[in-house]
Amino acid sequence: MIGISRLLLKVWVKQFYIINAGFLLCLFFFFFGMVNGAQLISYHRSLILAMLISPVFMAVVWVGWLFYNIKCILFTVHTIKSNNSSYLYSLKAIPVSKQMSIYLLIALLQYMPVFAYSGVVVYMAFIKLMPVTALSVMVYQLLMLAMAAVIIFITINKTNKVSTVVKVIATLSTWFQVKMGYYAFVLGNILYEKKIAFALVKIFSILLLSISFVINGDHFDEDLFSIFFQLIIVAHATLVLYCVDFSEMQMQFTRNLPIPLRKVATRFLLTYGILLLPEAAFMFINNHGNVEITAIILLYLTVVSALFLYTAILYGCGMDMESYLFFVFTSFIIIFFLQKTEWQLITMLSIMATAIVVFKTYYHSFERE
Amino acid sequence: MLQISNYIKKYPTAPDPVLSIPGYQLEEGVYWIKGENGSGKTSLLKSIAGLIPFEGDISVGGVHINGNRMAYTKMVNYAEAEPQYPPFLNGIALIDFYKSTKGGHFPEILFRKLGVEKFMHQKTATYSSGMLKKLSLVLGFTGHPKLVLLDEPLIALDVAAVETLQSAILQFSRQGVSFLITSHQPLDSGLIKAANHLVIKDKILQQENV
Repeated sequence: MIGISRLLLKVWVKQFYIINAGFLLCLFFFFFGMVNGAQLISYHRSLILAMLISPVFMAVVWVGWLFYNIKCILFTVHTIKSNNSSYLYSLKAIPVSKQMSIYLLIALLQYMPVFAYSGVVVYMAFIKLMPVTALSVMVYQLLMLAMAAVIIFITINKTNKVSTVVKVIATLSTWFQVKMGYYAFVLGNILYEKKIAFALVKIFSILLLSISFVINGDHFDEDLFSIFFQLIIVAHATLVLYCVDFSEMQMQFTRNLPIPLRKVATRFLLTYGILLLPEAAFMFINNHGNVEITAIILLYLTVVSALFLYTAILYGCGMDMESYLFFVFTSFIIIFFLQKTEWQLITMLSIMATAIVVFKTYYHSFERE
Repeated sequence: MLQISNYIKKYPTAPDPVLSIPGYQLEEGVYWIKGENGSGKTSLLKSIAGLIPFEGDISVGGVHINGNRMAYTKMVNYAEAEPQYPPFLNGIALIDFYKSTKGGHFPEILFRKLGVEKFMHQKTATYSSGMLKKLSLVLGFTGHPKLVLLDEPLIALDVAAVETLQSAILQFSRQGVSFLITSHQPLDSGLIKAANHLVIKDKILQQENV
């Protein structure tokens, strides 16, 4: 039994967290990274109190938990049904009670982030003398786990009788599959294939922003911030490289499709715009009058333009790394001095204009060095 | 139908051109391009498809690749020898994407006969090379192409799929679609008869005497 549990932990739990690392990091950042460290506990206390007081808010949270549970279940079901997992059907040979206990453990471990948080909700409900709410949250969470375990059991032990259940899961799976259009392809690649690099760049950016906006919040240092700002742009140069590499390797076929150049450029701009949302949100939330709102918007647009300039440079130099690094370094210095002029709008517009000209000139003549 | 003028293809890593075509005109029809490995067949097809840059000019039906790229790529379809697609996308997403960009006709019969519908909901990361090839062929026939470029279309296909593809080529060519095919595998006798034979030898494209 221990051997089987270990194997399933690797296949269903470890793999689940590896594959969903980007998604979970984003969630973690959203709930814990964007709030000032000193206010983190009071923020979550207010959030949980709002859940306990407002049944509508609690219902919304329950729907969120349900979606997460469905994500866990779909991952496990897909693993069972994939071509290289036929060995998992040998679990049928194990007695039902033992199978169920293993599946409950798997479901619990996959569901752990929500389960742990709901534990705090239950604790708070008891403290606030709301035992009915506490019990309802507990029952709901147990139902979530039971549902996951039963579905895994049915999928493994499927006979003709349960084919309807499998069909329902397949339909659900189709519903929950994110339909990606052209504009989301590059972003999809970063979030699916390059999530570790993405997470590292985000952690680095947020650390630098935390120093300026949180640690030095009361004594905001503009000079230090402008250096950090440049470093954040340069850190994203790696992600830009991945985006162009993906576009010219796995998406090279799109060059044979009638797609206007402005659409290709917009795809990159939208991708960078979305990738930089965490930084923009962090600056908005933790800004205590240090930087004007319009200035934050301009800073955000400047980074998007700079990343588009990097993209254009990559096309211009045929993805030659030496030339790329040289241009990144050069643009670091130029943007740094442009920022010092405090003509932020002109800085942003000039970066964008340069990027558009370089991109338009070199996109169709691009060939990898 | 296809006009090539002053075509020179060089790669950044090599000073000498891989292929040089001062001028060549192909009328409507099916063309089988032969040549040794490294003779420049794929480079030529990729240039005509718009995947790689080159010196000179290529036009199809009077539309120049560097003049009106949108109209040009609507008329020219390409199926790669070893197709690559984003691993996180499924076949249906790619089919929808091609339908929305190329527009027009979708090769429903080829799609069914090649069995693409059976795996179109799976992510391409799970595809075998034969499945990838079948998907790329279906995409290569999507839209209203005047010219379809098929680079080694027979590799990785099973016997039934080879037959299906060759009859599709003949059927589409009867409807006025031209084909440029490179293949080291022998084609079906019907297709051999219908095809004009070209060869790339000593970096020059020429008619082959069969």
